[in-house]
Amino acid sequence: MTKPVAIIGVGQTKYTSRRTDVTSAALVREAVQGALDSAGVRREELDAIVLGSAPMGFEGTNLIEKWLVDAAGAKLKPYFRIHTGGSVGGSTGIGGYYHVASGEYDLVLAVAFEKLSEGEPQYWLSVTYDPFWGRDLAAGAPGLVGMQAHQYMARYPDVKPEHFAKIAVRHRRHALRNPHAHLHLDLNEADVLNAPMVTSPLRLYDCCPTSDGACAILFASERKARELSARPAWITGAATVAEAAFHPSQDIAHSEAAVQAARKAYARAGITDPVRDLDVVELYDAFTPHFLIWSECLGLTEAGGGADFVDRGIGELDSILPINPSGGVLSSNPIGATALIRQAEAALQVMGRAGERQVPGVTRSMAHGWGGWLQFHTVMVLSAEREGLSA
Amino acid sequence: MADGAVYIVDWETSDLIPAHRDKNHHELVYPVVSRLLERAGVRQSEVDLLVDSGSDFLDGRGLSTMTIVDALGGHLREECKVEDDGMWSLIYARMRVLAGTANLALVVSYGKSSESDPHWQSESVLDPYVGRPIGLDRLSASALQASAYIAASGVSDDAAATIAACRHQSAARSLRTPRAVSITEDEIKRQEPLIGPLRPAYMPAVGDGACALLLAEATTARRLTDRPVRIAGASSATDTFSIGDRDLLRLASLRVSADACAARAGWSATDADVLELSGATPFEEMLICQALGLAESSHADEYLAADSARRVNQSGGLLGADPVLVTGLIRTVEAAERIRKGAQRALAHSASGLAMQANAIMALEPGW
Repeated sequence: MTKPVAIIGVGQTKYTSRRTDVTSAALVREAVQGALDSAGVRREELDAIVLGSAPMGFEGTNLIEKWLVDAAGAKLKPYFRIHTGGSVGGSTGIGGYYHVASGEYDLVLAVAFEKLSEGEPQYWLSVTYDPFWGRDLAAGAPGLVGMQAHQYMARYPDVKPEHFAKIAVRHRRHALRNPHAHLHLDLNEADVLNAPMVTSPLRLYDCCPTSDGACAILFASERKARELSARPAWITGAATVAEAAFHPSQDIAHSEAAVQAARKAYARAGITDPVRDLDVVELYDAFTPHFLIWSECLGLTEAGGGADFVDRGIGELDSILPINPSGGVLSSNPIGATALIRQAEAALQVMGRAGERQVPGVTRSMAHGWGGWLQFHTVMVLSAEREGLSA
Repeated sequence: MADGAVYIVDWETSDLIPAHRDKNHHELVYPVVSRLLERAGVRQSEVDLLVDSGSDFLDGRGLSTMTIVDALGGHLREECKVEDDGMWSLIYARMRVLAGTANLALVVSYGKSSESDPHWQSESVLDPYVGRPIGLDRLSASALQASAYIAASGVSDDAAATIAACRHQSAARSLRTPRAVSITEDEIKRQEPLIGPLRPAYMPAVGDGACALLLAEATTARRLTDRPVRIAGASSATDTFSIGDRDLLRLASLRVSADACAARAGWSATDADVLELSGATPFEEMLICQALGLAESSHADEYLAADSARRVNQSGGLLGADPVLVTGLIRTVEAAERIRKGAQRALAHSASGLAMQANAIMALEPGW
């Protein structure tokens, strides 16, 4: 059966446009050392390591984990790399979780990174498409999400650009309390609504930045967690669900993979009413419309409830369910690490170690990841208690 | 989880040939997955988990799984891609079955090396600052390693030719490698080395292929098959990156993973009836054998040349067919087939990175 697993350490670099002072290896090393130091663990004590990065074209090195093995603390240890596009940080953290949940390992490090300043991310996102019939249409990530947002707005006419602007302002305001965040922007809604158009309906501040950065999480068995941490974050549910990129019943404004990932992770964690049961959520808000769409898919609001969800201020730090107190993806986006950062931030909230961005009294949190053509979703539920809620 | 073990229920492969020119990636992989599920009597919706191996660099895509995940069997399934040889995907899928959240898992690996450039594939593994300007690739790294081995241990070219001829003959007989042709020792010795000491017949037969495999916990395995193969142990390790920082002849990462695997299985390579090894050349096979403790370093050539019972690589190994990214999973399938035919202990091995930087190993036994 599933062995109990807890997060006992987190390491993050500062997220920024360009880290010209380090190689990818040195960047990874910073996050790894941070996670080890935060838990008082030495590299030699690690049993296994999982590394995650998004398309290798971003850094231009094939099998890049082979180069990064020493930086990851993985020399002569079980070690492999996961790659599920933008969701890879989520898949990597869940990979670390499963190493321990299998009962085979006690202390496992998951590390994910990206050095987007060294590549052409939108080019590489465009060549994810089929070379014969997909690439003529490819327009990086904003092209896809613009289409998704229009579909959503057409279906629910009460959704307006003003709703997106509120999220753009709010999550940047949250980021002001997060020293790791890439963007520290003090915006108002007019700034967002008057910013240059990137891809309709997405304006500049509706979009995430491209960042350099790395994040690492240390996973422990129950024995190790009790030995090394006074308040670990237990993982009570996790899921990684995929959907075909193109299929006849596809609905780009409502991802079935996200729905099922949430359903599976909540069922494992005993979550029946996520808004009531969760105290904080870290959502993969790469673009502002995602706040509405993913909230709906993840069961935080009903179908079509996105506009009302924003209007009622849910997600504000003093609301019933604070969302992205870290500032989210809209404030930092080293793509390979981005979904692992969601898990790291969700863990820090449960551990009471989120510093100035700490939400008071967090017992349970959830972290989400998105990747591929709206098709790969990861969900992890964390708790101060070892056991999930009993349904 | 009836007994805490994980079983291989069944498997399927494509033909392993230099190029599937008439098939795109979907057309290569979809029939393999479909045949496997059909024969096992399993619907796609009954699979709890897909773990897949594909490569962006090999496929020329930003995210190789994006448009092929449906052909792999991943639509609305729990899924994860491990970007390395399929044996690493199998190792990860096994963990998730052990953890109890998946009762039935599908592992799929595919690669079309014919649509890429093998030199560029492996040169791009080197770091961009120091390693890549040198222009080393998989074969030249392997040749350097072989030269060092010959210098240190005196292993012979005669033995390499004997081993290579044996592999090519085995592959020519195998239904899985229909394009493989026999070559004699004399013919091999008349070949000029392409990269000293590697003659053309010593090189891996890089090509296209796909492989799918079903894993299950005990109760599910019992329901689906009366001939399961039990994974008694599995492990992997990766050595430091720079070739100059490694003892190329020791294969420390193989020794560490073999020890970890043996500790779990309760037996080691010397106890195995069958070994399927991912040596890309006869010299790599020798290095693997000495690291596994099958022969002294200076006698690994004689050990393999005298292996008339074909305990090692009866399939023909990588000289018969080396579908990059699939090779290690093929070794597992070949070893599992031998278990079905009566072997009691089979070891499957995979290698990744230049000069076998990373190694994975899996111990197989009859299910019950």
